[in-house]
Amino acid sequence: MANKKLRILLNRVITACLTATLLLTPLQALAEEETPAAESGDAAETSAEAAMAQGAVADVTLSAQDRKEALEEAIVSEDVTTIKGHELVVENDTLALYLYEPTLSLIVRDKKTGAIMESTVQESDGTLNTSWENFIKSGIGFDILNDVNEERSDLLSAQADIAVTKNGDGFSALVDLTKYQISFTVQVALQEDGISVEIPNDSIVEQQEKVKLGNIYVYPFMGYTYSYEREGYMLMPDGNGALIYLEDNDGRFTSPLTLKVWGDNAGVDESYVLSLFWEEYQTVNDAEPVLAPVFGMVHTDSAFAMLGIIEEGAEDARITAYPNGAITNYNWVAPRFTLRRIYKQLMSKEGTSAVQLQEAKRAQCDIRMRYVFTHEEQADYAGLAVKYREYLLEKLSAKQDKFRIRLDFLGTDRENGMIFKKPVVMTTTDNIRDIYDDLQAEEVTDIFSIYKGWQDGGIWSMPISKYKADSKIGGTRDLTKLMQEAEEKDIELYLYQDALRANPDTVNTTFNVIKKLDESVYQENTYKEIYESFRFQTPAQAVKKLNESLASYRKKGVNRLALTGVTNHLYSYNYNGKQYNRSENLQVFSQAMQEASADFDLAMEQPFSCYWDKTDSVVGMPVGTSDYIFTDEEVPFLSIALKGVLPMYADYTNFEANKSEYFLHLVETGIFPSYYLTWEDPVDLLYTNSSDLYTSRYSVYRDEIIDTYDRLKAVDEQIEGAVIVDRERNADDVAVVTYDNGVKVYVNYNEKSVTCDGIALEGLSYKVVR
Amino acid sequence: MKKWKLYLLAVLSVVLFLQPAMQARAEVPYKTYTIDGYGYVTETQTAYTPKTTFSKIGDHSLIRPCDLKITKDGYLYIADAGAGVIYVSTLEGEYVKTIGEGELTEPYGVFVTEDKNVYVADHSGKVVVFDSNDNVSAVYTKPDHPLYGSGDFKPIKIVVNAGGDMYIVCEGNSNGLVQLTPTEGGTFLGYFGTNYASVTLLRMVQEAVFTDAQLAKMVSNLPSTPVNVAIDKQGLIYTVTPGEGQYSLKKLNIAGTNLIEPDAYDGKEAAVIVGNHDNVYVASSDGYIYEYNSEGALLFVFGGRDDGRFRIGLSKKVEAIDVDAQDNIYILDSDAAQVQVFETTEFTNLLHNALNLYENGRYAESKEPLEQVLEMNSLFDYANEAMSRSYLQEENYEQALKYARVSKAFSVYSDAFWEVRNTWLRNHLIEAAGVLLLFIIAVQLLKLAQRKKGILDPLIRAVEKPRNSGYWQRLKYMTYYMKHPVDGAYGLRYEGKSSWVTAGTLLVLTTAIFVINKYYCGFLLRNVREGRYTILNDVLSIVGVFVVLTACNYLMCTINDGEGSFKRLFCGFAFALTPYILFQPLCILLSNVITYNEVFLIQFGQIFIMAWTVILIFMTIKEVNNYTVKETFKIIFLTAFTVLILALLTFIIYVLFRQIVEFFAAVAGEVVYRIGK
Repeated sequence: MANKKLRILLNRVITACLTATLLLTPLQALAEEETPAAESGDAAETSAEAAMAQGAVADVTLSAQDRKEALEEAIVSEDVTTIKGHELVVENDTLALYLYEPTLSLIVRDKKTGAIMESTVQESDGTLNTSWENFIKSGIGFDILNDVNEERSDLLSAQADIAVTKNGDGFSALVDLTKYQISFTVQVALQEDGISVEIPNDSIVEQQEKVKLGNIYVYPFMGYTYSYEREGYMLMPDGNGALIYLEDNDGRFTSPLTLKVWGDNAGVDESYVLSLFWEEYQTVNDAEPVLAPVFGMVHTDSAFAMLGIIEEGAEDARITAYPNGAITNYNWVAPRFTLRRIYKQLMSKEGTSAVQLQEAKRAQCDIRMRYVFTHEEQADYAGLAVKYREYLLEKLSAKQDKFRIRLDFLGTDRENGMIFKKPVVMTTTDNIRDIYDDLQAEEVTDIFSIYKGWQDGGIWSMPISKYKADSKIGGTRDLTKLMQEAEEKDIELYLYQDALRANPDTVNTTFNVIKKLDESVYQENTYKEIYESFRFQTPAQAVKKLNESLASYRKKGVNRLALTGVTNHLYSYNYNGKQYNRSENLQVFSQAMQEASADFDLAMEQPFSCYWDKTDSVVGMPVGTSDYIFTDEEVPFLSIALKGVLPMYADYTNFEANKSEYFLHLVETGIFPSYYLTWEDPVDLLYTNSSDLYTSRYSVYRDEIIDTYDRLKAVDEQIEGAVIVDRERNADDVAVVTYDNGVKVYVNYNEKSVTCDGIALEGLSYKVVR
Repeated sequence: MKKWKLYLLAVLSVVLFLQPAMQARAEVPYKTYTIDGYGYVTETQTAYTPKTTFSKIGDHSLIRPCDLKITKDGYLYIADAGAGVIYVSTLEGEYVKTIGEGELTEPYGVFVTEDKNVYVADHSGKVVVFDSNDNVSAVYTKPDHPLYGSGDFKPIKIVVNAGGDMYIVCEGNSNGLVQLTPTEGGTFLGYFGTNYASVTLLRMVQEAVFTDAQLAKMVSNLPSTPVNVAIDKQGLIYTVTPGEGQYSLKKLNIAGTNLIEPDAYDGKEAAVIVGNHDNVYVASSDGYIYEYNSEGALLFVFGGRDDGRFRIGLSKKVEAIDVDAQDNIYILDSDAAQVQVFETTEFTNLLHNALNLYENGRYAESKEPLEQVLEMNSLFDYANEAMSRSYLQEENYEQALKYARVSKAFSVYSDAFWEVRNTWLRNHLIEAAGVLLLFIIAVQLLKLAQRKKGILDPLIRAVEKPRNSGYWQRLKYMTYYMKHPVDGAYGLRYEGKSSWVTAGTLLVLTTAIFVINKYYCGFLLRNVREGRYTILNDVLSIVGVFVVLTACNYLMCTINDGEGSFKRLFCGFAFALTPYILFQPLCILLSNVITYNEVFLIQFGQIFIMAWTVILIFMTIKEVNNYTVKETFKIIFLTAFTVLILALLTFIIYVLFRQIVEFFAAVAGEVVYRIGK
């Protein structure tokens, strides 16, 4: 009996085994197929561009004569009414605007020097195919979505009907793309120092159900040059500012440099398929975000420069620089506005099947570009930065730019304990008191501090919805006391709050977190052990939690807040079956920050330029760039614009491997120094999510802080409140920064000593001259 | 404090003076890592920053560069297989000359000797030697030697030792490096640095079962071929072979013995070179660059794949690496057809300085820069270990112990601990004897008092009740069971000695001891990370394994005429754990005071416990079920089989369950899609 049972049992087991093997084999095959995930960066900007891609770019050889002629052609010294078929539309004291109606092509002429900038190519070099040929000759280009297919088009290819109406300061053109049954209006107006171009949202009419506008390129060739025919550079808003020279690239680049304005869109952008190191570590540092949606084209030979500022529509814009060799032989930098996109709807959890869909709703925002021109000595990145400052000051009032050294503290984090998570306490309120006392004794008095990880549950306990300090750092009462004491000592102590993220391990994230357009919940991977991923709250929820916490701070008289998360993230998302886009998101955040700024002193971490009027300081200002291979020179564009207007605090000096050089950069840019400090040895953080904090102990950095403070304070005493009017880096690699109070700062980046303007500079040193 | 600062300043100024002008980079696109004593990767200061990139030598664009070498006097030799020549340039990429135009077909590898003879490994099947005037002085083709075998001769990389012997990496030659000596127009000396073919269990089964035809179809199991080679000042040969685990990087002496054991490896090694401080650099084809000290301790790993990010410092496909006198690293990227130069940071200069002093045996001096490195990153494993050795040398054992513990330098820890313990014993011997004496006197006095006055009576009365309780009695039975398993099992069956509570207690005790042993045994014997606890897992796994094994065993016993009930078996097995419960705590205590010299005591103890427990389990199965020895063995095998089946079933259920989940997710996705439309 027993034996029979056994046999039956065995029989069944064997059958089950066989079934399992059969089941598993295809699964394994599937898994194997998935592993070599494609991770190539697209050479082409969009699928439409890929479709029209052509063969290799021919080598260009230009003689000195060619280059001379090109320069001569770019200077029209007499006041004429037509240039290259373009008719004069309107002019003022400094600029004249010319228009060629069939392509809406513009030419801007500087009346003093006669230098011109063209917005389209008149005669191409004949190496391009028809679609490119048309694209470079049109003032406006676009990607049309035909259901889920994307195709590049332009005014010529689409056989647009264009009706131009001239008005007092420019013209308005009704563009009818008959081929696609899409129409919109382009309004161009001449302003005192530039032009504005606008495509109002309500002028866009899309008559067909499936054929829609995808992307719009507004004057993509504005200020373009051909190969190395002309001298100058393109300015890109990477980090603090990056230049790409208009020189012969020798086919070095095959693809353009694209910068997403205001960063990745968590809702749509496929996060990078990473090649993780040892399948575990994310070894590449994130690129610096685009803080200000600006770009520039500078012709140094004709001393004429252009700064493009995206005024409206930046939420879904990209700025792409095409150095020669990247698809064409031209150098051009173009803004691209996305109105609608195609996204993937996942049909299975594993992502093995998916369908493509067109975004249901168009981004509801106007597209408005402002081009500002400078000439003569002002025709460089410094001149453009000064112009950008003037532009900013139309919107925001200058804040007091007082020198302070930023000393941030990490309160507490969590690691896995025997059963529960246990606190790792790094810096208590008493520790901070001691540090302040110690530093004040050394006459380090002007301090700006952000207290991270002060909240109950440690730094990753997010979102914060009330004022409750972790008992391990001293508790709420003591924190309030510390903040009052700091205030009495004129130390600005801010509480750090990530108002965007929610940690699924500390709060319930079933609701009120965003889903991507493809309906999957967005997860931000940390690649750390304790908390593996975070969620983004919906804007409404984020603002609700923020306001709850603000109310709680007000009760205790806390009025300094360091905001992050919401200051540098915008996203499209799905919630409750509805799609929302970045414009809506921006409105909600802006509104909340506006309200908060009324009675709070805000310090924002890497805020987008649209929030600069609401913050009292910019924290984490990049000193350099993201090191793209395209970048020929790093320039302090943003810091020239903001110095004296808004206090800027740099990234932490702790983690700099070349400290002396980093220090020189701080001297040059006027960005204030920052340190991330803990009282305890950061070894304790090894098993926490803050494990990347490997050097931060106060006792190690004490002397360095005092030294840095003394030296930079001395520099700042000379320039306090002044703004930068010029900056150049001369042939000897010495940077010279001129302030409007007449002070000049010389910074020598060489190891050897040099003499500049009769001033002797030792290797790796600086001098402030009044 | 002040003194080391001055020293740092001096070091830095010297280092900076040596360096050519550089463009400052605030942040680099990649992170830099080092590892701690457990091989746990931690982030650290940027070690090298990208300096320059060049894709042209003068007017010559690189087409398919395959190798590069740097000479001591500062020239760069690049083998361009696409152009069929060797380019010579300055370290800044300025053109100097071209070698081998017309002579070379596909130069894959290049080597330059001290006296400027240039050896070129030409993939077309020859090694060409140019003298210092760039004239061909010798050409070596496929060795005509019976031992060479019938394979092709496709040289891809080459190094030459001081005596002129060539070590050639040949494509597809799994025998190892081809060693040629220049005498008589090239004499084949034999193969060098051969890798071993790995034989897996699966492979062995396949070879036993498969037919010849099937075997012929399988990928042949030949040893991997090294892909690159380097030579150091002492003539030691370094090879890299991708996918060979810790043998990916080998440092071979003249006898072919491996002298290095890297504590981290990549899997896609592509190039190797020896640095200026006896350090070794290995580059993976994905662009990760590893720097090791001479013993294979990882100092840094940084870099990475470009992946379309277009950021400097990332690579597409690395083929060669070299280092110049200033420690700048030159990486040859064959896909991007460019040379990327990295320069050291202030932090790395500090570390190299320490490395230099330490490797030259100047331990005391090396401590200062090491301390600075540790101040900047207190987890830097190499620095901690070097510190511990330095302190050991100085006979500062307390400090050595501290640093050894952080860096998990077990042998140093053991040595230092021996000394510390020795000192302690010396200092406390008299006190210890005194304490012992006092204790004995106290006990005697107590006994006397008890005899005379009975002062301990209340205590005795207090424990009397629990001692006589059934629970305590049953628990005490475990010592009896341990010594007399046959009688013990009889007791279980017929005398009602089995009890769930007792067995549960024993199981709890076992689990507790297991956990304590795992986390609190001596440092030298512990193999979990300090401060990491997975208690819940431990408890679940112990209890789970115990219950599953007992259940499977019971299932098999019931259908094989076993007489034991589940309860009896469960209790029996619990009693069988007694040796562990009684003796393991002793081992734990002992492990905290021993060094490697006495570690055999613990090992012996473990074996003793293990053996006893196994015997008890065997006896339990046998006696409780009333089996013969043969039947017992049979049941043990059947139990093992049942466990296997159970595991398989669990797996199948899991897979099916996942499929169901996936199915519903797909349906939901479809619904969302349809509604969305």
